[in-house]
Amino acid sequence: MKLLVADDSLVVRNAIERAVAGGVVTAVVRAADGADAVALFELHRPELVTMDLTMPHLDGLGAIEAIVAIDPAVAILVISALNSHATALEAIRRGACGFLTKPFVEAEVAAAIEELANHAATLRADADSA
Amino acid sequence: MPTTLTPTRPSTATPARNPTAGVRQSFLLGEIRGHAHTLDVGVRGRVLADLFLEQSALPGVLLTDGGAIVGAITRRGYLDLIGRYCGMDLYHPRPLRLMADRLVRERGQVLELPESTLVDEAVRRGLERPRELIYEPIVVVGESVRLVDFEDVLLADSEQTARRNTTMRQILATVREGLLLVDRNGQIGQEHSVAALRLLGRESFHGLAFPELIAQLLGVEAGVLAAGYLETLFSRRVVEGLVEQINPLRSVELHEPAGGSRRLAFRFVRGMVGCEIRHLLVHVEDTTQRDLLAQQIALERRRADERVEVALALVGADPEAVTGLRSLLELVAHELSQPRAATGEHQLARSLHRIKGEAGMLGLVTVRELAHSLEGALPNGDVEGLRERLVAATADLGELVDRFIRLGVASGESRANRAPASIDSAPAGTEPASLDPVDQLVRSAEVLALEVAAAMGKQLRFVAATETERFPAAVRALARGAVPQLVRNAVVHGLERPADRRRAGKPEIGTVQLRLRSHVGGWHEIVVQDDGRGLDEDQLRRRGVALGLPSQLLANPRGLIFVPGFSTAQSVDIHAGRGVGLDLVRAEVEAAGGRIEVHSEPGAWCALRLLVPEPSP
Repeated sequence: MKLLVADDSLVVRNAIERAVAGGVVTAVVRAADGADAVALFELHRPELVTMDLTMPHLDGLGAIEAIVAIDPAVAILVISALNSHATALEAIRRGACGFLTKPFVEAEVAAAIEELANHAATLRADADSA
Repeated sequence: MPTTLTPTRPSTATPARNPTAGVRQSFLLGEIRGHAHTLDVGVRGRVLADLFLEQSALPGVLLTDGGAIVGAITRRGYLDLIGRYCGMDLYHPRPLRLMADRLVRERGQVLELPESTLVDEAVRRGLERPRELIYEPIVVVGESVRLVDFEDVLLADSEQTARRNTTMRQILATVREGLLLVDRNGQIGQEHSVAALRLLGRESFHGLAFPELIAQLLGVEAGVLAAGYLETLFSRRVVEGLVEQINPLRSVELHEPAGGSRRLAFRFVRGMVGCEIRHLLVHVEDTTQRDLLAQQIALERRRADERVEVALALVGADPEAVTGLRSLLELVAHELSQPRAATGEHQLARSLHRIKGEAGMLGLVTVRELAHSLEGALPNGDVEGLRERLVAATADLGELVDRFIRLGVASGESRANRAPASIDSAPAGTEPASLDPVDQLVRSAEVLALEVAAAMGKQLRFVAATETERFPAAVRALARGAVPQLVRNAVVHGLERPADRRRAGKPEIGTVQLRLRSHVGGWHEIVVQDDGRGLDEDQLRRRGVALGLPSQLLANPRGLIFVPGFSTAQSVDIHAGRGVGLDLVRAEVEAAGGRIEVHSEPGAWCALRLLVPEPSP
């Protein structure tokens, strides 16, 4: 499966890429801001996405909305600091499937991506029948 | 006649339901009493009529043909036929076979089920029948064949449901956790644990929606978040396990109307029916005790770490310095517990400042930070929590110091033995170099200088010159109080940042010198010199004006650095101090009969020179 990692921190992008190595993810695309994330999504159409909420140019919420509009079957995991429950719930409302808080350990990310990948099949089936 | 029934022998009514069923909640058809009257198909209809008259409870008869059971005639079926035009005349004189064939043609075979069928299933099958046949008996096949009245099946089903409800109610009454169900609309289900009411402080949840309940307990905002969270859990897009971390009710504090508070933890689990998210199971737990314990453990752990820090600092420390610090701590702790007069405040502030310096020199970071916090809290009077920590720190320090002094008392005593009156009468060269108190002082000063420089992003080289083997105890004590302040000032106010130094044409690494010298004439000199920016008299005067100081003080700008509260730093931090430092130093020096000289070349260097006379015996 293809994964898009959207986060403005190089350290975090590296950590996530390391965490998913050797698992179900075979290719990783990286974006450092929201606008790039949407553009790269359009180009590569990954099945899985991790999204930070605080990014320049287009923030996480906007990016989630745009990406889900392109492909309703995409499985998005928000990986962000939990500053406000209201924002977190809004991210889910816009189409994210889950939320992992920072700081995280790599094992957490690996497990979450695996769950997300399993879920992606359900989303694909729902979208196809809709 | 179809021979679908294969019994071994006809039998009389089987025993009533198994009395040992007890708490079992699922009954089998075979456990319900049945009727096993049989009549041969050749027998005349009148015989059946007489039988039905005689046995009013009989729902029907099984028909045999040559010993094998081939069908059944139910009472209702019989009455239906008999009730028709000339029914009796038609059927009573003739063999039952006729009636049986007619009934099969019109109604089909009587419903037949194995005795291992669950009662739930039997009820369902029975109710699937055409309306006029719903209450017809069922033929139950097993070891024997029986005819079971459908009313009895329905009664068994009711009993089963009642038992299940009772068991459920018993469970719900017994569990300690709060359990309740919430549907898609947020409505709380009727079945919930008794503990749920208790934990959430309600007599009943009747008609209450979950978000509303949360709003009542924790406020409007919490209610909105709860509603939002329920929404996410009911959404098929969401992975249940991946939204646990954003549960807004993960751990909440509930304030009791009577005062006090509790901590509750809410967990949510989806209840699936097939692929549909039918409801959420809400699990409520009181975590007050658990959280309190966790807090205590964290506190203990921190205290343990602090004790280790103290112990490490004490290894190799000058026992005198440590004992002095401890006395000061005890004094301050005592002072803080008394109602304080305004004049006492200033003395207290000075003592805290001194503790800061000495603790810093000894490497007791926690004590130093505590003193710094107290210094800041004093003006507001808001010291209670900090005072308690200070008392705890004093106690810990005291206990460890006692142990270490006892361990190190041998070296302390041997030193004292060599010097009958005080250390200053010991001949030169007989002191063990490693325990020399002056060396201790120098080393501590170096550590402090490097630490402060590192914290401020400055680079320095520390040079010490001690041209004395004898420094009186009194002067040593004074030095212990003064040197940290002087060194700190030199690094904070004197030395520039490496970039600034480079621009000024100086080497990036600054130099701080500490000189301790005893003069033959009986004077002891303590000098701290830096090659920093020196004293800018204009800047000092300007600050003096800004502080509204009297003109006679402004006349000597260099003297302003000794005015309490004068600090020319831009902001107060733990290293720059709050302006209580140099005035204390000057006071001590003057009290000892000495003086302070300030030498400086603006832009180049600054030196503070303390001159103290030999203490009178």
